[in-house]
Amino acid sequence: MEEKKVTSFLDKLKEKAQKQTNYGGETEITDAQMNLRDCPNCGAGRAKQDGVTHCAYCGFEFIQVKLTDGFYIKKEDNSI
Amino acid sequence: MFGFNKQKNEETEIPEWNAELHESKERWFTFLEKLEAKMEELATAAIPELKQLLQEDEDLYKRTFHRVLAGINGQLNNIREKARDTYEQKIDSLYYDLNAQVSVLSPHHDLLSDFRTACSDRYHKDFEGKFDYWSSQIEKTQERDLEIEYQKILNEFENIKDKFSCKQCGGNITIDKIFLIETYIPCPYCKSQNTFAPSTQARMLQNIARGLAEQRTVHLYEAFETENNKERELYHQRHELSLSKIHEKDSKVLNDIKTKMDQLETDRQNAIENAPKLYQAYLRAMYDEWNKITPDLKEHNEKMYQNQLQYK
Amino acid sequence: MFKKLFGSLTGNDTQENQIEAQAQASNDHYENDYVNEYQETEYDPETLHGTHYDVEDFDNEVETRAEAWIQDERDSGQNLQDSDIKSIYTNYRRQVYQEWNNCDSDQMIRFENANSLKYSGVQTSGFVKVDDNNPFLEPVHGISLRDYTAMCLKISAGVDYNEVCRAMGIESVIWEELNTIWPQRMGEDTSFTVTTLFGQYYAENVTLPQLENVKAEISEDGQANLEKIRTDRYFYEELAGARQAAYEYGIDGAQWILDNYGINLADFQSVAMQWMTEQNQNWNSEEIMEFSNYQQEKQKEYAAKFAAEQGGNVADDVEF
Repeated sequence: MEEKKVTSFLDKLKEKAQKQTNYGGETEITDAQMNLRDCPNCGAGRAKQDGVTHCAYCGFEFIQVKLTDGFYIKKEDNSI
Repeated sequence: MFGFNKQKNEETEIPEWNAELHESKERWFTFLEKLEAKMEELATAAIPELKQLLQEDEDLYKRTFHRVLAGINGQLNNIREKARDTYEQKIDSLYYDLNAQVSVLSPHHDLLSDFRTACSDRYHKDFEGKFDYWSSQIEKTQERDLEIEYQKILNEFENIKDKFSCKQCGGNITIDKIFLIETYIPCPYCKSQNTFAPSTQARMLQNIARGLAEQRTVHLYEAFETENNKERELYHQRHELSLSKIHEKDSKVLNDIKTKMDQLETDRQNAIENAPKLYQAYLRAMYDEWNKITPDLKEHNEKMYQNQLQYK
Repeated sequence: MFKKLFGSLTGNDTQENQIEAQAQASNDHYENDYVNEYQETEYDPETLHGTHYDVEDFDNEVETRAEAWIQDERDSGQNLQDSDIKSIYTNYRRQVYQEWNNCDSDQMIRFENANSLKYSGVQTSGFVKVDDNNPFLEPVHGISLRDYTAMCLKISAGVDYNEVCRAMGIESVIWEELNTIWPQRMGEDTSFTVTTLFGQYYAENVTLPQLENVKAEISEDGQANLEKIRTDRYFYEELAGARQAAYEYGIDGAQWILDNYGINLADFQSVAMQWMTEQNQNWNSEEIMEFSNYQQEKQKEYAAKFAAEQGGNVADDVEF
């Protein structure tokens, strides 16, 4: 009799836990990816030596902040 | 007050409230036994289920598992609260009621304090001890062998590191390490900045790195803990010896005891001195291991290490 | 990933324990309270020191008394640890403050909160001053802690981080750097300035002009409930208690609040921080006990409700 109470409690708990939606939705599982962002204005790519913040050809602003020395990004990644 | 006769009576007769104490104690013991049985039943049923759930939970953060775990802990706590409330209502209150009536000087006051000690020990030592045991058994279901997860991350990296090409010119781009977050990677040929986003699995490396480092250095942590616990053990051993001295008359035996006690004290002082050294050895080794797993976090980790040394 | 911050934000365990401990400590002090009826001490609004003395004199007095005690202890062969010395100072600081200002223990706690950085090296929410020279507060890629908090608020409210990045004019690469470096700084800063300030901004529900138009969906009911937990402390305590009870019955409390009251996690945490900050600023132990008891009572009520939904608790049939 008692055994039954614990088992039925566990079953209900599991069922309820599985049924719930996770806050913020399901986490998407993705593979590693490589992408490239061309200048939406003139179509040019971004070359390492030109920095990532502005288009070297037309001056389009890719990134509106000034980069500092960060985790992987370095301040040299700012366009001049 | 002036009741000399009454006092005489008190000395000879067992007071009637003793029966009530006796009954309450019996009930209390049985009650705790039943609660303990429930705890055990719940835990033994839940542990295999939890382990299985952890295996099966597809969610990155194992949220289904954690919800069930929280639910089990909730029931365990519910049982504990039931014991606590009942102790207050049935044992403590009875004790205080009678304590207000029975003088400390009464020869029967011992019955009352014995009742309380027995009930309290049964609760605070035995029941709570079992609660702690089952809680920690349930906590342990969270443990995963992080080596396996780490190996998966390494394998995945080996698999993908040469598979990417520049989106601009098509040239090969080699990923030269496990990146923890997104980053720009220039093409070695045309220098175009590509954006590399690590896989969900690779990103988890940051989350498991410390746990893995701890797992790998657990023997050092245990060595510290053993040394750290020695202090109390040695103290108790010495204390026991000092008690044995009280009724001893033989000076040779007394001398032997003293020698043993001195030795225990020396050992105890050594343990006090050694424990922090072992802790530091563990901490250094753990951080070294951590840095090996995620070299990109080394700068940050070293600052954390210094803080931890200082504030320990 | 900024999930790891929530531990400190919800403040559930640590903060509440701290509050409880402090409330307890202040109760212990009641017996020593001075009669305060005709007391008209004027306090400096920043330091909460009485204006009738110099702070320097105060610090000197504390030092004199503490050092004398420490010397005494050492003379009698005591081996004092750093922590012992700290608590000796704390005790004398309390003593001198109460003597010199003739105040109750609540005022003393308000004073301690206001000066926690100076005297114990740790910040208290509600009292952090932004120091431009603090290297931990240097913007990361041009994004200040305040900006970062505003972004976090949007994201934990349910807005996709890509949308937040677009509005801020940055790429996701940069967001990921921010979301790595700011939490790292929180960990490194032993004065907890970064963490506490993050919490303070969170409580203020800070926003930026760029983010004005980036909004998480919120229902009409949700909006009304949110307004209510912001203004009605009892309602907030009720939901906080309910949320706690939900977790104990295997229900994700954050999702439960969203489902039943339409309030998202970011807004809920923000209000939690708001009440906590206010509590620190206007320390009143009686009120704190009142709210804490109310929350516990509500938690029990909801626990009973959740228990009923799952057919009772496993040990319901065990009787004394």
